[in-house]
Amino acid sequence: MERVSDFVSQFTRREVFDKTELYRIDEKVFLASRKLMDIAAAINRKPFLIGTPLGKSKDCYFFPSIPLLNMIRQRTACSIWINKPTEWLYICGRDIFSKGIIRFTGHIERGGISLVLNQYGEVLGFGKIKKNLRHKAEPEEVVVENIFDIGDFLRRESGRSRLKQRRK
Amino acid sequence: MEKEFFIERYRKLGWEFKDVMPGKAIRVNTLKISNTQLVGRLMELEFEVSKIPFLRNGFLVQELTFSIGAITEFLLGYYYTQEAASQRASEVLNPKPADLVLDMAAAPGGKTTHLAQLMKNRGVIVALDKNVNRLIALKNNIERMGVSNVIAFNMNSRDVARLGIKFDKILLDAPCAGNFTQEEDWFGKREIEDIRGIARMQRKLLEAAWSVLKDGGELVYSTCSLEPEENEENVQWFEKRVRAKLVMMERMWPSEYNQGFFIAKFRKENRGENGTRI
Repeated sequence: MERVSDFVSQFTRREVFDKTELYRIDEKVFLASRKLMDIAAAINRKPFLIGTPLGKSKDCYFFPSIPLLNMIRQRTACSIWINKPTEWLYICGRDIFSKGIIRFTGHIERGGISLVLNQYGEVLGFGKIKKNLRHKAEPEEVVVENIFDIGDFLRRESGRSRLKQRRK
Repeated sequence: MEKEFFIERYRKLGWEFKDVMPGKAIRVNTLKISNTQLVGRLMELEFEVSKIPFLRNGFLVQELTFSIGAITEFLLGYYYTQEAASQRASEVLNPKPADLVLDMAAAPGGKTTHLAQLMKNRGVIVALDKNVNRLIALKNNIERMGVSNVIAFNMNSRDVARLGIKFDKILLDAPCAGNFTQEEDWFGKREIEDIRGIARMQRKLLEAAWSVLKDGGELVYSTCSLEPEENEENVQWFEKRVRAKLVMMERMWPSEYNQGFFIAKFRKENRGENGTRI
């Protein structure tokens, strides 16, 4: 369970979920209400999934779910907004150029990580800050490295999920 | 079988065969966005969108520029691409936020996520599927659609009694022979004996469902088959077998909105073993 907490702590020190509701199935972590846990206990059989998927641990990595990123969004000020043309490139797995950023909020420093949002403030994923965003950068300079994005839902269907790529 | 054999039996059931192909339908995920908001977003992307009159959150979309299954709004879980008639089944079950609901053939999750939406992510849905690969698709859809009230098990629904609990409402969208709108040369690939075999399997699932339904509970049985063996004949058999009270029955013929579909709703008004009426 520590991996999910460690992951969240990179974005915020605030609690984003009730730790008593964490439920682990093999390497996967879920957030389950008391009612769901009661049903699971009554059935006494290993579930395939329960409640909200938060992510999975594999080797030394933690792979967050989109619902977890949405929970973090409610508790962190650190976010980068990108424009419409950049949105789809990012969802296709590309890094973000300086010219694609509309604005950013919070304590964003080189080497740190940040949520990536579209023009409506919807969570598209997260990435690693490659350049200090407060300094001027060339328009086509990569400033945010894509770590994970919602395009993963499509990649999973074709067996090209980021999880598999990282394991190579 | 000859196509004419099926067309003739549809005629006897009251439908003149039309070789129609339903439009592409979506269901708005009101856990995340309203009908109005999503329609606005899709129209900005130049989709032509029209409401399906018999559904709460169902719309037909015409793709002009983009594929409806590969845009940001889809990945954000704002809708599910779901055939119109199959959206009816969850609406007919009409689960409430406090209910304990069983979805007996859950993957890949179209109806499970719809049930969660109707329950406003409250209560509990127990979802079963015997195919683990399809359960992976269910998990992905639950994650995408923001569903949080499901517990899923990898098991055959015929063994549902082993769970040891009873349910307020049950959806049995049974595996079936399908219909001609889903598959090229459907008529040429089906034999009446195959259909009868599927109907027997469906009866076993109906009995399993009934054994875990609470007194006063409701069961919705649906198929995407047009064949009477899987539909009206199974309903008649089931009414006699367990003395289930039939609340409603609806046959949907293929149209520009939907494929062929059949829905029956039963209520368990009796007490005791094997449906002994009190």
